[in-house]
Amino acid sequence: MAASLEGLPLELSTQIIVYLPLIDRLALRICCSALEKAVAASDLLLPRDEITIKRSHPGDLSIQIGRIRVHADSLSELCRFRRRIGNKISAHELIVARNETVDSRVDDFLADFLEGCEVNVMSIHLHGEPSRNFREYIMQNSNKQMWMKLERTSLDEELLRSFLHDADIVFMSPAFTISTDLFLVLLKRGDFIYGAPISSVRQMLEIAKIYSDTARDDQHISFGVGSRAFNEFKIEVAGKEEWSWDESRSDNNETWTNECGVDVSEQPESEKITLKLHRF
Amino acid sequence: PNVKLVTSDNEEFVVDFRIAKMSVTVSRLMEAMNMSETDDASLLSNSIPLPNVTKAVMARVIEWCEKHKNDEPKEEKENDKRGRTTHVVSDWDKEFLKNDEFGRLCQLMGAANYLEIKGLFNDISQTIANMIHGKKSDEIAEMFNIHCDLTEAEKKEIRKKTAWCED
Repeated sequence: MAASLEGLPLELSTQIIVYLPLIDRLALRICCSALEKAVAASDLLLPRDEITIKRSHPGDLSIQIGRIRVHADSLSELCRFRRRIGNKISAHELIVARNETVDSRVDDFLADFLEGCEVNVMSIHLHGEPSRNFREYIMQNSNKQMWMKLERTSLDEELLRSFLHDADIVFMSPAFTISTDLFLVLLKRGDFIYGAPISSVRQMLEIAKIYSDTARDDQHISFGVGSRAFNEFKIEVAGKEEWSWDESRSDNNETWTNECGVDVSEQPESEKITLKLHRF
Repeated sequence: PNVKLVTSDNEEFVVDFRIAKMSVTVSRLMEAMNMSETDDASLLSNSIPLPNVTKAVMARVIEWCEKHKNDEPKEEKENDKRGRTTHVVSDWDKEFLKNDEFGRLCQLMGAANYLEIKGLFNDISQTIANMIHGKKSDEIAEMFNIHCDLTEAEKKEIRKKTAWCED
């Protein structure tokens, strides 16, 4: 057995390096080519840390791995760097922040960068359509805990249905409505759903009924509908025994409740009228 | 019951069956040789050859195993406050390893790997990682007497490519 760090077989040196944080790995890489290779071959385990990705400008990617911030103008250089700092990277959470501009090339590099990264939680803000490779990456991780914000993107029903665990889904300025059928799938999965884009108050009432029967006690759901919707809703429920105006609410929002424990309230601070359902 | 282990330099160690079982490699060999705890004859008539371990290293391995033979199985890897993956090295283990120079640690690590004694292997890996942790590359190179085969240009290139990493 060679009694030098650089002479250790790869199976041993990688097991030492697995205990080293990124900053130590960077120092080790410059010692010699054998250690540079050993760093690249060892897993980087950061079970409490986050990998945060920001795509602020076209062709630009800024990444934070744990406490280390990585910036590079060249995307291919970033991916090369990724391959040299560890084989598999395990972290607690992947956060992909809102991108200012849609750039499928950056998305593709992102998917490339994230190859071999394993996380427990994925928080992704999709602003515009994801590239095919990035979408594939998300689908491959459908067994993770998902938090997803959708903005200016079309309804990707297959993607939303693919998540294996209850997810948090936020709909921001969507140009589509979701079907009651899909809503039911998300509801039964136990998702928290915010700003669900629905077509009508009638559909909302239908969903409210399903919600009353199936949702968990702590499962929150809100709908995003047009500004006339709340008035429509009030007309719709007026005179119906199961709905009543809840005067006891301490907040300023006008709130209606039904006998099934569903609570519908107006959220005036929102641009749209938001009808929020939650058990009380 | 006792088990006989024979090192590469033909030294025979007679160890308790429980200690022999702490090594996955030895366990497998005993199984292959039909040696069982309840069959004294099989234990007396056979010895386990360990051609990758010397007498001196075997003595250290057995000392470690003696101390840990009653340990409960535990989750090996834990995380420190900053999320760094660590293996908790007990005070006894720190004391056990503290006087070993790096060369001996490597030999012990190689033996722990060959014998598949995970606890000892992780103790040594973490101990060496602790020696590296927080040091600059030239300090690491000096501490481990590393012969650097990178040219100044190559080093400069690696530094340049990681210059945008900020802690």
